[in-house]
Amino acid sequence: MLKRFIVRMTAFSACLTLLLCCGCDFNTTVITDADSPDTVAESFFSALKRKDFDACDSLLAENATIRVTDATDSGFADVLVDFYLDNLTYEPLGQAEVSSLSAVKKIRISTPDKAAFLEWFKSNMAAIEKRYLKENNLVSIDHQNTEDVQKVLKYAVELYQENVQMKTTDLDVSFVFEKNRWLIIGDTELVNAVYGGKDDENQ
Amino acid sequence: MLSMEEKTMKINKRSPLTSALYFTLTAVMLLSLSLLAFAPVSDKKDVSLTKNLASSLVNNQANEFISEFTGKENIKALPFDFTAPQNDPNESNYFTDEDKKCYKDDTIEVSLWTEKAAKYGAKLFFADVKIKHPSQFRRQWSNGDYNSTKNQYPTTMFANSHGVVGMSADFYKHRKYGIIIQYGTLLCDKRTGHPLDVLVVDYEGNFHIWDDKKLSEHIKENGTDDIMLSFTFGPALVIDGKENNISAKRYEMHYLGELNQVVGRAAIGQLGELHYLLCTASKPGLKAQDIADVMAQKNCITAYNFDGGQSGTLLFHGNVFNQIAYKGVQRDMSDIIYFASAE
Repeated sequence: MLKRFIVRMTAFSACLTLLLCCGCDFNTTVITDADSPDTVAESFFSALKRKDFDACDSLLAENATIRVTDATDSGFADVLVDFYLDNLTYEPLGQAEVSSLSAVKKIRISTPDKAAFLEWFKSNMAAIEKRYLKENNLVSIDHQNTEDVQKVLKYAVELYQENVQMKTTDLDVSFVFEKNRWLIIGDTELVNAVYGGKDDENQ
Repeated sequence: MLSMEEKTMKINKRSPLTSALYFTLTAVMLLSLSLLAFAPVSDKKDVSLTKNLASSLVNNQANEFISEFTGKENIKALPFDFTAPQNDPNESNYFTDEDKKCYKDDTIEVSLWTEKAAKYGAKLFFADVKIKHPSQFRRQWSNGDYNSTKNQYPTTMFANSHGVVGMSADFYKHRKYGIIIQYGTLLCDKRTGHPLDVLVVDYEGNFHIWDDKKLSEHIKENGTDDIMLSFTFGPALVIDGKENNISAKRYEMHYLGELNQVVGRAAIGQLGELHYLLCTASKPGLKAQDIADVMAQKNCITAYNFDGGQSGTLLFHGNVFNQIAYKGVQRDMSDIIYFASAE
């Protein structure tokens, strides 16, 4: 009987222990220099410049994503993404400040200024269209045809590349240590800084 | 081997301590399960914000650019070329509003009226024009051809243009100099050596007064791609909202237009974005400085003198609206400007 009791208790304890362990988060891994927030930031922006969004997202906490899904049907959102990322520069401003399971790192991001680009576009719209028509031996384009519109907008981006006005943003990038590694907390400030510069118009 | 009855008896003989232990362990297990099920989770950030933020941000930006380009009201532009619209304006869109003759559709709004310029003793004929797209401001050549050797009545050119409102313009064939550009094509590039005011219209429909020397240099450096239309009669009447001084030295050699004579006049001005004013004067007419005063008083930002006298013809609804100088008979001319509907 005693033996039976011991067996039952052991089995019960094992089950209980297993249940208690589900969902537990043991922070016992040693944080090495190879996983430092500085390294993660460097990897993130390198991947961003390569447009390796899978790699970028793997460095973001809580299943966030820096990827853009074009919903305009014109393809122009993709054109804008290429435009921003091709011109993006990243500069770390010192080492990350680490405390327990969080960290903050100051960085400087330069990206094309979306407001300035839009202003330029509005001021030169008709001339851009005219130049596009001339270079493509066209008489006119249908402004209601998304394919035609996308071509002209893409052409406008190419023209603007000759003299891009940039916007520089200094921001604090936050990190969290989870799943045994440092991950960037992808917030609105970071996204705004990458895509067009941080300003009220981007809110 | 114990029988079922013996087993049952054995269970029923379980000691209170054992029963208590079993009860306690069961309670602990159930309590643990309940804690696991209802334990407060850590305070996680709303991932949907960051998950969709990049997409919504860039897509909003893309829509901004698209809306600017296609026009919020989806106006289909007329082609920037030498052709005229295919159809006449819709007859049902003409109407009279008190003492004004009007036309209105979704792309153009026109009203014409007459005034007596008491200060100058002349009769003035005005057309206020608002359009939705710069391509609606166009130019018609005689016989539809810049190189045509024959002139036509303004009413004939107007009929061929299918415009809503029009006016005699440069009469460029009357002379062999000037810088004439249409949709980026340089049609004439001859300077006299004397200063000449050129009316340059860009692809936003905005007026600019440039000295022909400045324009010539611009063309050499930048080409003509950014110029929609240019006119060469002159002089400028209003520049940046201020009346131009026609008696300035610069205009001493301006032998066009009989600037200091009281003759019929024709002028065009810009009042705002895609908003224009046409004016002719007759009975007996005005000096150039006087028409400059009139256009400045009407709040033109920029205004320019076209060929007046018998040439000055204001056109609407297929007819001449003003009273043409010299017994009301039209003059054969080389060109008119007109505003067309984009419907």
